[in-house]
Amino acid sequence: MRVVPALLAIVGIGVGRQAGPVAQTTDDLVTRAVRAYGDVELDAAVGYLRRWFASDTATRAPLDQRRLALTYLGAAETLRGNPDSAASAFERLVELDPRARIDELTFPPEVTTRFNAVRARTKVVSIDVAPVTEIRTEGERFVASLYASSPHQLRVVLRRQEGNPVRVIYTGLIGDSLAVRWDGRDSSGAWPGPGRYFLEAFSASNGRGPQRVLQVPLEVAVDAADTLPAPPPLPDSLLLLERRGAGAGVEALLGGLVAGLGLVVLPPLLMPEAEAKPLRFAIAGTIGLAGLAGFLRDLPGGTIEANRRANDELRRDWQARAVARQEENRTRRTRASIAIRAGQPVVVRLAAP
Amino acid sequence: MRRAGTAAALVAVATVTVSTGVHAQSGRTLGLGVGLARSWEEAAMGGSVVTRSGLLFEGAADLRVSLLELGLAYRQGTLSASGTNDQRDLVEGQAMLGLRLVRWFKIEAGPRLRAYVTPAGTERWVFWEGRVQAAARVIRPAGWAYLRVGRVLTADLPGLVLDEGVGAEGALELQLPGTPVWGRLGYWMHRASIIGGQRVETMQGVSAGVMVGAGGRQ
Repeated sequence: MRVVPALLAIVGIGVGRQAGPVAQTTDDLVTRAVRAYGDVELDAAVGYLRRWFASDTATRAPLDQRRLALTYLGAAETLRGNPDSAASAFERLVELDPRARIDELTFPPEVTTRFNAVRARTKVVSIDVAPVTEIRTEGERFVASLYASSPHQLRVVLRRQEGNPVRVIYTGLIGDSLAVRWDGRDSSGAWPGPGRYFLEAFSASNGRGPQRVLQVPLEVAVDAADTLPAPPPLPDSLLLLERRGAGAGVEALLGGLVAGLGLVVLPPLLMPEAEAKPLRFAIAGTIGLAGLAGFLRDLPGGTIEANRRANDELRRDWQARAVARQEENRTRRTRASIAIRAGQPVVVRLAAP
Repeated sequence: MRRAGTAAALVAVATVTVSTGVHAQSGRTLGLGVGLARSWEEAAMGGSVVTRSGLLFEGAADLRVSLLELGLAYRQGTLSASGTNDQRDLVEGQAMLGLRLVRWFKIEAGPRLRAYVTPAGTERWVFWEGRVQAAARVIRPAGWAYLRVGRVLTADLPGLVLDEGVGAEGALELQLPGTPVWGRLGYWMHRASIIGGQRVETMQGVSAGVMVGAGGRQ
């Protein structure tokens, strides 16, 4: 049973020895290509570089090495008389690093001229963001620095992973560079909520639709106390009638008239033989006048001052509650914090419109 | 038969009013009042008419518990014929149990006891009456006018037979602002026809008084 681990160890050492030379060879391809370019062995240089780009090493290589490889690939293809292949390499170089430039002392003018032409028509930006940004107070912002390959129209938006747009952060021209800021709120001013988001920068040339979009995944974590809902509107049922209806005035008028007339009419009907006393008419008239006075005092449509004052008091109370609630929510918002973790940016070419 | 018909009519009015589903009054009120009434009495008998007048003292109390109301009234004074020594004392008391079906409408019934005191003796009459009352608030917040009409349903007049008895009353009651004191100004009348109309007693008066009410008057 002890033989098996020993055999596995031997095989492992063998594999390890084999992997070493292969990786080293792949890494050396760029060096060999540069040397071949210097020796004007352009076909060899292109061959080394294409082998390198086809390997897994290229995707894991640092930015400087990829930039170097694409620069020499474009230069070699230019000098080989393959303008399309050269343009393709330079376009990849610009997408990789919009701020990339070609050394005019190292490369001949036809190479730098071709590169500059490609750079001028390739609209793309790169981004520089802090890995983690925390927004704790009202004034703090998530800041993204954007660098353009050449001046162009830019639209920066934030959307949820599912696709729902959250906020348009910038729309306009970018020259060399631009810093965009996000206060951590959606378009309504509220926290967008925790989750995965994408910051997207759409690059477009004048008169054309977006050519490329730079996508940065963002992981947003919100630490916030829930805000309180606004107090419900004051229900009408709590408000007293501010304008008099016809009821009170009509009751006064009719009541006074009926009672007064009753005292005039009823006694002669009920006791026809009795003598009419003038004081009876005085009483009847007094009651009738009281009804008329009540009607004039309670004219329909008049303002009921006591009710109006009571309603005003209710409205003031409600307003005070609403303001207090807003103040409380403002305080809660200022106490909240949001943490934004930025991922690796990716440039995506968009189909021509 | 006529009295039975009147009673039936009152019951019918009460039934109809209750069935309209009007809102019930709630709470308790108590009122006590005093006043004076300038009164006139005409007693017609066998073609002769004697007119007496005088000042009556009035006292009143009423208690309301929910829909039910109990009203007590008292009048006393001397009525004299002008230019003669003919006079007689009048003492009258009422106790009415009422049902206030809505804020503005009430039915009530109860006895009215009346005594005429003369040197020749005392005559005591008992009328059992039914009345309806309609009230309206004429001045806010506390000024009421009401009109009351009643009919004698039955009577106990020793040695006499009542043909018909009717009455009416109207008044204005105003509360002194900020106080439980009410002022009252009213007119009342009552007529009793006896012995086939051979004797007719009519009384009318104008009264003024004050009342102290707890819990409101209406």
